[in-house]
Amino acid sequence: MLSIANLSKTYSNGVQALKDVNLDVPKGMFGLLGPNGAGKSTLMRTIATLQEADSGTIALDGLDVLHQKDEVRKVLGYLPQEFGVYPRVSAEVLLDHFALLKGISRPKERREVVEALLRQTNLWDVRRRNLGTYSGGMRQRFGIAQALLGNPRLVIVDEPTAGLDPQERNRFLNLLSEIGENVVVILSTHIVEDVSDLCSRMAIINKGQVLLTGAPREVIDRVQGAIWRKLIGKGELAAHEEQFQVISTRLFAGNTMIRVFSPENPGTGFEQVTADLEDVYFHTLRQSRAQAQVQAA
Amino acid sequence: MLKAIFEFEIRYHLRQWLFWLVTPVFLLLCFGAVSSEAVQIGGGVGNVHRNSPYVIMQFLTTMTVLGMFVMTAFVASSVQRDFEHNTHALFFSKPIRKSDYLIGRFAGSLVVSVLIFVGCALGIVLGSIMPWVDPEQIGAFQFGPYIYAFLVFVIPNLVFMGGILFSLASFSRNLLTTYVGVVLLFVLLSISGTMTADLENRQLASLLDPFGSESLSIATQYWTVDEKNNDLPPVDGWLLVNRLVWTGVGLGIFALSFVAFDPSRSERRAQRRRRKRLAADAASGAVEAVAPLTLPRFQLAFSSASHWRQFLLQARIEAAGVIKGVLFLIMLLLGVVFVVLNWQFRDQIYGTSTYPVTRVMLDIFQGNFYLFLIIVVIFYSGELIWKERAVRLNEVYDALPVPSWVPLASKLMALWAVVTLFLGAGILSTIGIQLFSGYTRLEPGLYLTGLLSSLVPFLLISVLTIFFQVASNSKFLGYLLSMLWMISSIVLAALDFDHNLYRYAGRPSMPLSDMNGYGHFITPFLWFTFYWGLFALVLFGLSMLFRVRGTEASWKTRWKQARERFTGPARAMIVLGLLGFVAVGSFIFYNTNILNRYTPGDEQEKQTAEYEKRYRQYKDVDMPRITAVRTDVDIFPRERRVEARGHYRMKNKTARPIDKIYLNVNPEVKTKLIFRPHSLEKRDDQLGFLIYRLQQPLRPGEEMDFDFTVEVTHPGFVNSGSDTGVVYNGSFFSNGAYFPSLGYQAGRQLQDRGKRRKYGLQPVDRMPKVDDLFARRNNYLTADADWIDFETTVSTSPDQIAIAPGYLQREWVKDGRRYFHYKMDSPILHFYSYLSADYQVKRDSYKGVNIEIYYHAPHTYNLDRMIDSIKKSLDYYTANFSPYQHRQVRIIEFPAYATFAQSFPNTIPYSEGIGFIANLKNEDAIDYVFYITAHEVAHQWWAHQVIGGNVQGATMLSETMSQYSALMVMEREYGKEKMRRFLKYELDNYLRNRGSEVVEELPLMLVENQQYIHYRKGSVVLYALQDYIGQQRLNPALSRYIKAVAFQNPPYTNTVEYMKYVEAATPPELRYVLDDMFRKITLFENRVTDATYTRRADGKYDVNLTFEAKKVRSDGKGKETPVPINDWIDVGVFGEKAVAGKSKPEETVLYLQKRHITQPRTTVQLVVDQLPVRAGIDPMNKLVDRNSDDNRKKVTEGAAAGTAGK
Repeated sequence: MLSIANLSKTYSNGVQALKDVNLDVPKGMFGLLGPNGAGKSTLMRTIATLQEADSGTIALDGLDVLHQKDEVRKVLGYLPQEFGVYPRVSAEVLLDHFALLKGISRPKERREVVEALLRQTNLWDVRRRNLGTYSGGMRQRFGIAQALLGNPRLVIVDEPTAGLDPQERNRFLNLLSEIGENVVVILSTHIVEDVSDLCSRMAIINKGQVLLTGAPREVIDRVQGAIWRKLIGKGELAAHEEQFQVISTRLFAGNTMIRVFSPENPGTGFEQVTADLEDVYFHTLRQSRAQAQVQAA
Repeated sequence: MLKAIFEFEIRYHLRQWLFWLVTPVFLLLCFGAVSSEAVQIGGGVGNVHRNSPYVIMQFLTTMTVLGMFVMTAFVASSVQRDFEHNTHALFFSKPIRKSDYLIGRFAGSLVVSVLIFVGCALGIVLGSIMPWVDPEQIGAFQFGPYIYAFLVFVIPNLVFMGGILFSLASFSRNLLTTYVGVVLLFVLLSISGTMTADLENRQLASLLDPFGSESLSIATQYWTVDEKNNDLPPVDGWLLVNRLVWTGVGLGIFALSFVAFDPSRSERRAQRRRRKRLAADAASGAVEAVAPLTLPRFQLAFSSASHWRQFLLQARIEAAGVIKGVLFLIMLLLGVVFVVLNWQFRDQIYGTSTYPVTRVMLDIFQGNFYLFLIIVVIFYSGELIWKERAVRLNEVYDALPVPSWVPLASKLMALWAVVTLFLGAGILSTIGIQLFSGYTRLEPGLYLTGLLSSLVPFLLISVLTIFFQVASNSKFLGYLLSMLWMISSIVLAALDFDHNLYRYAGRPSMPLSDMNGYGHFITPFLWFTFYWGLFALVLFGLSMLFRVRGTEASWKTRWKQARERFTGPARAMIVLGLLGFVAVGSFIFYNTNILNRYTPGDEQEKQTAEYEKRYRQYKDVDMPRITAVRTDVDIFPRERRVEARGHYRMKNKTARPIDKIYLNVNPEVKTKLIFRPHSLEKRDDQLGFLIYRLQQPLRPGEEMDFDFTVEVTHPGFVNSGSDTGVVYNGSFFSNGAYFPSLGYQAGRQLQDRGKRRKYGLQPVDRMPKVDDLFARRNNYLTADADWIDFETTVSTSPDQIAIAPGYLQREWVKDGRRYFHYKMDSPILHFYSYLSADYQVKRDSYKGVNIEIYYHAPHTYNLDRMIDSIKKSLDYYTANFSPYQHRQVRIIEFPAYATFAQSFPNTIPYSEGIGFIANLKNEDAIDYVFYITAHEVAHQWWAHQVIGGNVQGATMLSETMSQYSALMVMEREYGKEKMRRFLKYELDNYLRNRGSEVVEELPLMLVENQQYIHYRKGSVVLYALQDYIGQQRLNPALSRYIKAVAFQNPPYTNTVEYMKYVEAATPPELRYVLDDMFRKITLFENRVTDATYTRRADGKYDVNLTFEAKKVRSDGKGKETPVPINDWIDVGVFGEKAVAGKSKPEETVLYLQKRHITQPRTTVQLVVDQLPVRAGIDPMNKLVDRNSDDNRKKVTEGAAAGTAGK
């Protein structure tokens, strides 16, 4: 169990990346959803001991993450958002290297672990190939293999599916889903499906603040029945935005399909739809924007 | 469009901070070089103005070489940044013509590079108007030289380098490869630099130098001060060819970049990469069900043992990452190339090389190899520290449960491995050179110590450069700091901040000697290494504290983290390291500054000036003279200690009573004096000057005893310049080093005019005028004695032989020490030396003269040459000059701490660095062993029989005449053709050194101990003289002169007297040459313009020869005035003759006669018997000719008609 309390961080250039973040992350898959620049990576890196916080605490099963970095690193598996490889080293060699650095010191054990992980990530057949020749998806799978070395109790994967094609994305999520239930896995992403497909719990974060936490099912229930859609002409969008809480728009056959949040029937032309996590996400972001405007006013 | 791109490029660079960082640095470098002594970029010496055209050209040309490293950033960036920032697609999708893009970018970045050099020029201008600069060293501002330097050197060089860099960058699109190109260029430069060291291939080599600095130095090599201050070399000949060729090469290579910018090329590349990836994808299969993750059982270990294993593995991986790279291989090969070239073109004497003894081979690792290796270290420290971040793997690494020291330490290890491999490869190649040259006396032990001692500084420097990278947390800044450190250490040394206690990795130099090994130099080396090792430990600890781990690099965070990390091993390293550093530093300070005296370079100069200020007033006081010397000298080689008890018999030879004694003692030596009752009037312990008042003045003609004891000790160690007078094996010191001497020593005065002004000294004559009778009361070697009786007992350790002038009377062993009693049987100069070492002795004799060579056991190569030379010298000198005053000649080897031979009475110390290891196997080699030996033996006549008074021209009587004597012996042995080659070296040396004269060039007979005149010009002049008037006339005159002045008492002879004898022997029509050669500075510019032959009906050949003859007189500053030609000059025609067993045909003289030349341009017709091959005016280079290469020309077959009929 990972608990984050009152975590704040301001960069030296004045950007406040985290504002009093409080979050309890139980064991299992936890989705951290937020747009680009929401502070997800700052939060991930801070948990992964790569960054300092200005104030607040992070505790992992009694470990003080901010101060017992060495201890945390022993139980940590981390796949950073930006992550490269040595182009002229093979997967097998580099993974073995990381295994030793993770603390698996016996050569035989290390070999076995590396093999298991390469098989698991379906890289066994290409293990001798230089990493420079790997595709993006293979590289991400290598990344997760690396993160899973040494049976970590805390696994952090930062935006792992960005840029993957649907097939690779599926493959990657499959892999994640097989991580044991006794592990805290934090998946940060801006893709809603990642969370809805995979996570038992989630949080939405924007501008350094946690806007919402809960189980996906539960948070969807909160807006169930209040999501409506309507097909409008392009010129009508501004008027609708004025009048309704438009949470998302999408082009549809030359016209615009809008979804609005409204506890009551917003009127003619609107059709009630089943809410999904995306609606929750956009609704939450919209609300926080509105609030900010109110505060600013 | 071209204009837009061009302007955009310039604006882009002018907005970058790099430009604004680099330009001031260049400006400051030039500013500093002109306005202070601290920065040296070649340039002004003595009378050459600090802003003379010569200096401007040199500075700017040299700076372009440095500019290469900077320029890379601009030029390479102009192509690469589009690929780096992935903007290339944006550009190439626009309708730009490729040529516009490339030319615009290239020209723009070139202009920006030129701007940097404008800053440089500005620095020179500013530096020369600074108020503190000595106004006599600054000439009037001239605009021309700047324009010239830019047009001829700066811009062509930038075009050349820019072209290559631009092309490299466009092909590789990778900064690393471009930097390899920079290194290659750097090597090319060094190669041509070393190749031109040899006289015989300078012109060719100068063509190889892409920067034109060799061409420049050849064009200006014989320039006098006056020319350096006023002239610019004409852009023609080799210089022009060089400039055109390399500019062309630069542009040509630039044109190649058009190929690289075939727009489809980048697309093809990307496609290839994509295809490869896709293929890989296919191989990994489709989406499949993933099995639940269960890993095999394993244990996690986080013990220090496992960290150690991690470190070892990591170090291996880091090292392998570097070593397996192509770049490393290239650099390593370059290193080996450096070694081979350094050997091939190392310093040679008269073009003759030495045997590859290990000591010489280890010397190869100095100079540019050292510099290269520092650059390698700086480069790889950046590469290693930024390795993970370069591939964005740093976040993974940083989150691993590895202690902070592991990555740092393993990177350091990798760097150390790089350095070790470099030096190891270097040493293997030197061993290869040895074996290849057939030299099999390998000394692995010596190589090992050589390797270790060369390694240590680089190991320390590695820690520093890593620290710079870590602390600055910016690769570029880290490089910059490392470079700054390198430059600052050079600047500090130039400013005489030379204590190794504050120069990182500083240590006293550790010269190697075959005889003495590393000797006592090892101790300070080890202490300083320990000292800086401890400091390196602290630096490493600090690197651990401040290394950025994670993604945050603000100083606030780093301070916070550093405080948190200040525990455990880091803390121990820093605290213990600092404590040890201070403790060892204190110990070193105790040794260098308390047990010994530490005098920085400028302080020494100041003391010299002080000596003159305080005591020059006594330069003409009456002094008693030493008439007999008797000493007991005990040498303790192991302890580097000398105890001596001496006795001078002194006599008042003046007409007045003497009541004061003025004495110099070596301030580093404990001296006690015992003589008749006296009182102390002045005592200057710092400068070692004492004045005593005698209670009873010494009456004219009265004699007195003067006893002294000296104790020379070397407690602890010194910071630099350790005394090599007494060493473990190979002690060598003269009486002047340790024994007291009488009177003011004018020889200690500063000579350089600028320095004299700096210390507020009035200009003084370097030597008294030639006819100064008062000055001639002293000979030029000793001011406190004339001829003395000499006797000495020397003792040393039982395994060594001790030698001093005189004949061995007795040798015995007492109390475990070996004693030698030497006594002279005829009077000698007050000038003698002591030597002690473990010697082998080779003996021979010639007509009753014993010949002995005391040598270091392995150095047997040239002993026979030496003995042969001694015999032939004795033969020539006794037959032509006068009898030999001694019954023995001894040559005694001493360590290569100095490389000279010196003639004491019947005793010739001879450095192991010259002669003993000369390789004379090649029969074309000039046998300088024979020559030096003959020269030193000649000194027994010219110095030890005839000694000039202490006035101008004195060294002509000793050195020039010894050169003449040796030349005659050599010519007998080796013939005229070898002499021509030898004299060409002498002529070249003379002409080259005229330009660095610090006071004034003087005619030969007025020479003021100027080596380039009394040796080099002296050789040329005397050889010509004997050619003009004949040995059979000259030698008897010399013999008569010797007879008149040998062993004379004051006033001592001078060159005026000498010239009377020579003049009397010279036929009147040739007496003008005495003016030209001895009394004036005369130079010729003779050259052949046309040489043709036609075959005659009778089988002979008509040779038509047209030549120019020009004669100028020069003043002491090199200002020349032409004089009409009215001279007898050799005209010669040469044929060729094949000689069995030789590949090259031998030259035969078909015609060689002096002709009276009266016209600037003359055509002569000669008839010779055989086919003429070459012909010329002064073809044997007997005259001082500014261009001795154009005196001969190949004779070509001319039009048959015309001449044949006549």
